[in-house]
Amino acid sequence: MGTVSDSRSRSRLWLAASLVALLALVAAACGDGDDSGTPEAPSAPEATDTDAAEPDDSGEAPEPETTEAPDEPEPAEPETTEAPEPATTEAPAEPEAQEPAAPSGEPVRIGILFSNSGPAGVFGPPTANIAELIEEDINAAGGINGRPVETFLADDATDPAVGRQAMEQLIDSDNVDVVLGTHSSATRQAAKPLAEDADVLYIYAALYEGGECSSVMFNTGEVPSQQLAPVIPWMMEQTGGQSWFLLGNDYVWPRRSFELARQYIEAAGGEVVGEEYVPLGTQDFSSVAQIIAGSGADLIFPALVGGDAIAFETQAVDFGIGQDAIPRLANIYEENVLGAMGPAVTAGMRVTLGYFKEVDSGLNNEFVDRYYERFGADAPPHMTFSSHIYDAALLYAAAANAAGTTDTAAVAAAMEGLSLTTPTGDIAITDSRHLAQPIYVAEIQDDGSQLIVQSFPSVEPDETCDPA
Amino acid sequence: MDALTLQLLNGVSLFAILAIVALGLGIVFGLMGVINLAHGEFVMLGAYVAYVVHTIGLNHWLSVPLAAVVLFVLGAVIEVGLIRRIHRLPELTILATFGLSVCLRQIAELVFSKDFQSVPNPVPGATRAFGVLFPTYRYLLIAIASAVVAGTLLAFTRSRFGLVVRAIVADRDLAESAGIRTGLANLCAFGAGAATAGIAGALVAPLGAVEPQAGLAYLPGAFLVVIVGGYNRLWGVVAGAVTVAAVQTGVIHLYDAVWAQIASLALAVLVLQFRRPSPAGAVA
Repeated sequence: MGTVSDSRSRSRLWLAASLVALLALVAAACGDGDDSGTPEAPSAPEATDTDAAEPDDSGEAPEPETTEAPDEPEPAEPETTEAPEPATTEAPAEPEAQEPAAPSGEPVRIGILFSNSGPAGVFGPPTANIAELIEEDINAAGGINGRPVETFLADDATDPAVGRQAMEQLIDSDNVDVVLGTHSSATRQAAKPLAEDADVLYIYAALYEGGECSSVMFNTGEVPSQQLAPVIPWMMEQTGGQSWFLLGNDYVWPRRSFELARQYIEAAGGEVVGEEYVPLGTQDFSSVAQIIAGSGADLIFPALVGGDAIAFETQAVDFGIGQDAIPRLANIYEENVLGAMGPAVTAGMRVTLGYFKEVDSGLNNEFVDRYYERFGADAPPHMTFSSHIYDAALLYAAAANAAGTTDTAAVAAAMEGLSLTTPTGDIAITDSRHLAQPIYVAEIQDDGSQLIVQSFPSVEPDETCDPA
Repeated sequence: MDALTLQLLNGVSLFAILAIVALGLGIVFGLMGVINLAHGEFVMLGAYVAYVVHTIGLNHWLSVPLAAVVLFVLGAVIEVGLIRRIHRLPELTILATFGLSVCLRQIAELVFSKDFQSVPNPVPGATRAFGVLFPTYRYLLIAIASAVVAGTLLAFTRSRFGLVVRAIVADRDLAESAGIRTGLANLCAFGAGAATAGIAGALVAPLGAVEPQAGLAYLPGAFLVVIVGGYNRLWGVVAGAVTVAAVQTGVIHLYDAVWAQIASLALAVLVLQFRRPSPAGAVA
């Protein structure tokens, strides 16, 4: 190979490399359409790269992809442990009276679409655990219309294309009656048309930016209006802070959160002194830290996900803008992320979410004890995503029991106005097909634990939906 | 004035991070023509070396040389087992190293779980210098990264090893017929590239999350630097890192971080438009 041809093949190679790199960069930069108004983009961390097709299972996940429920469903009574009533059902109608008979017959098939690998894969293991408890608890309570339930797990690998295939598998191969989802909005947008075409009920249970409306869908995760409307004035009262700095990843969920936050801050007499967005996958926050330090903000509202949150908070301390200097109100920092930051960084931070395992109610304490007894003291922490999947399953079971069928239209009709008390608290499906639910504020303690310092019962989502 | 000093320091620390992360990619791509899509995973593994050093209670600074050794060995093994077989078909290296990156991520996940981990900052707090407070760790990072980059450049330009490598880059066949053991040189070059990635990972570990996916975020930045700086001269890594750091820091302060990212992408496109093919063999 002479020099000339060598250099030509090299420049061809160069072009190929540049293309690959630019593609990766564009994927990282754009993430998803960041049109601030439209609910197109993910509500969970989006990959900078979509390697993803590997259907993996980390050593962590105690349960493989598909929870193999026994064909012969476990009868309810011989369960040695207490097997408590999962929820006190206040559904409009309750076919099964006090004495639940052991369910029998063809199982009702509940699909769970979740992220068990890729950037949001860290949220997968608790959901896989909860799938077992869903089967156990609904069957112990008599099943659905006398039939047992069986769960089918499908991993979207935090990738909408894989998510669409996973939805296809749930609908076409597993023949599920309902899909419960906890994954990014990007996956929801990709998977929703399949549920609509097959007329399968799809309950999206992840916290997201709001705005979803479809005849087969209910959205039971927290929306920004719920997390923020009551909490922002409370935060300003608690800290005496007036001026806010809003720092988020650049996609629709932080942008929608900040749009609403600005309204609530101004309504409470405060002001926004800075609003910055950084691309997903940002590692260096030195310039951003300087901008925040120069803004004179009293409070920071960080809507950063995953590694970005950890990078920002650990670097912020050294730049003199840690939690002790400028208090945080966060809306997604959860135990994995907080644990990696460490209590030295996080102590004092406040987090607003629809569920923490520390929620102090008889029902929740019992449930959390059972979770850790069952899956071990070092089980992946049960948190808002897994709790909302559990609630979604109970809502579906209550609605299908009320309807006396698993027919999608009939169950959807029974869902409307349905209310339950679950470990999360009192929840109710609203006219907008979202969920009125409690919102809790946890404060991180010096040992890194979460203490619920405020709760707001039955917060209504500011959503509208009328799927004709 | 103080604000400007801080911006300058931010720019320099960003330069140091970009340069050390991209250095290995520059070596492997520029010298061997191997497009290593697993480079980010080498950085990630370097960060895990720092994490392991932290969990067994050793001093963080020990992780820097240790990561270099571990990643050199890993790089050498990968060169012998994988790269050597395909490096004459560079297009194949894209596929092979992409697969490798997936494997390394999954292995990290199996060994360390997919939980976020962190390495505490060994020198928390800030130092007052030039009239401003700036994080102490970043001063040290700038110093170490610059030393490693400078040392690597010297090794590739001033040593006999550098001469051999440049001969291979200029004309592999001729070098081989002249008795140069190109296999060994490739092994060392790939190992050295992996080793600098390991050092980068250990250095940046206290600044963010240690997790199996972390490498994905480093790869685009490294490619950006190599594209902007020029691929077949190692000095290009320094030039690229300076340019990208200056553009990013400047645009963040003028507009915001999103425009900064767009600006660096635009820069890469512009550079590609106007770059003339560099003469082969111009390594430094």
